[in-house]
Amino acid sequence: MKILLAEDDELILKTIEHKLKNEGYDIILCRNGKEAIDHIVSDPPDLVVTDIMMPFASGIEILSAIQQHNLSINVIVLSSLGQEDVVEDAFILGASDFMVKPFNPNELVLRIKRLLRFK
Amino acid sequence: MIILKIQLYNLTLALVVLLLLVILLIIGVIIYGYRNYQFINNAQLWKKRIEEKISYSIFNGTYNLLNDTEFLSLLENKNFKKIFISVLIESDQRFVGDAHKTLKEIFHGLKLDDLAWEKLKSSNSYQNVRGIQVMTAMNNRDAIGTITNLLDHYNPYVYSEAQYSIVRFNGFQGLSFLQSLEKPLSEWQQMRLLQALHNVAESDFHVVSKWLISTNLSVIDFALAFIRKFRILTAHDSIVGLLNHNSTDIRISAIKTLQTIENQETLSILINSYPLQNEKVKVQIIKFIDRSGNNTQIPFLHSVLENESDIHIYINTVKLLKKLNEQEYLTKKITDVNLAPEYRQVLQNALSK
Repeated sequence: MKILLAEDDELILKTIEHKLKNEGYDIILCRNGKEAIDHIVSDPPDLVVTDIMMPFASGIEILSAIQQHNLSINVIVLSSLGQEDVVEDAFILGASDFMVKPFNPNELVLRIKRLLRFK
Repeated sequence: MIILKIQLYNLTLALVVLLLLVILLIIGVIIYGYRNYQFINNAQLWKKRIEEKISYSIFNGTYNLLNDTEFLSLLENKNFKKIFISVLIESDQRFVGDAHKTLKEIFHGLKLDDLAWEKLKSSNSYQNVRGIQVMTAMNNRDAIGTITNLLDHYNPYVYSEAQYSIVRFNGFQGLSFLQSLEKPLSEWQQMRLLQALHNVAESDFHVVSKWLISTNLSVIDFALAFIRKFRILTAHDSIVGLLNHNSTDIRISAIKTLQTIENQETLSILINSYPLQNEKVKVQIIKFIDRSGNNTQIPFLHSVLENESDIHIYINTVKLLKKLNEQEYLTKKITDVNLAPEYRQVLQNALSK
């Protein structure tokens, strides 16, 4: 299973990467939204975990790109405090789940597993 | 001639000394720049390495980190220690749950308290903020007294961080500073404080009604947000009292709050208060009816449309009547010859959708 992590925060990126690699997943790391969109379009992963605010393209733009290309990919959105409106937009655009930072990384991994089980 | 020679000699000597000083200064700047460059370079490498170690520890335990002697020897360098602490704080701001326990284990395992105390007691405000953040993140309860004293600090960053810290340490009881707070609580700070609260005992609710009568508007605003978060139904009547508050923003916030703890009387209370309100509050009442109302409010909405001239109220009321299947009434209204063109436009737009 291939998971794409789109996050400009190195600490979050590395922490989730460590865990998911241990669990046996293939991980693609993207540090900005544009890089993530390019990857998703050229080689669609099974699941995307994306931050909302990122350089060059936001998490919302990633969701729009997935919708435009008719891709069936589960997306978990990581949002910050006070971004409730954006999370609502994310769900309208097809996000499967969301977590608010600060979050429990173990819980995120459980949510990833749950979504991939139905894949 | 001799005098001229002496003067020339002195001048040359002065120039040489000056040149030497300039050269020394340049060397000094180069050394300083190089050391700075080295520090920045080291800092980036260190930060990356620390992040790598911490992120690994979060899922795999602290054994690897706490037994890496080569890595730990770097902690003797004060700059490395500072970066280590700031990465720990950053991690605390990103993760909760088991990850948080791991971070605490690292902090105490490496005995980083001394540097945190130094920061907390520093005369530099920025250092104070960092000190508060570390003590809070690492749940060092010995620091509560010192942090409480910083609630009255002159610097907003320091007292805001102290407020957040005390709430994280003491939960709802930590909010006792609100009773006498004169400084404004920013919206961001309100959100942080609310987010730091997880459980509130019902016996504490009576304190909230004291916040509602505060002279500090931001405290009232916070109290309303608090009531919305914890759905304090018993606060209903106190909030109704805020419908007469001088501040329009507070009245609007009160209506939004009533939405979350609505009872059978709320709608009629709002409708009765409608004539006494300004346009902005009236729009909020119409929006309230939109979310909570039903067909029984149609006569009231008709009267609003007959009597109101404010375009925002008109638009919201027309939309609501359309939603309540009042097309026939709205169609009839368009034919009213006395109707101003902008209102007719609103009606046509609503009916065409």
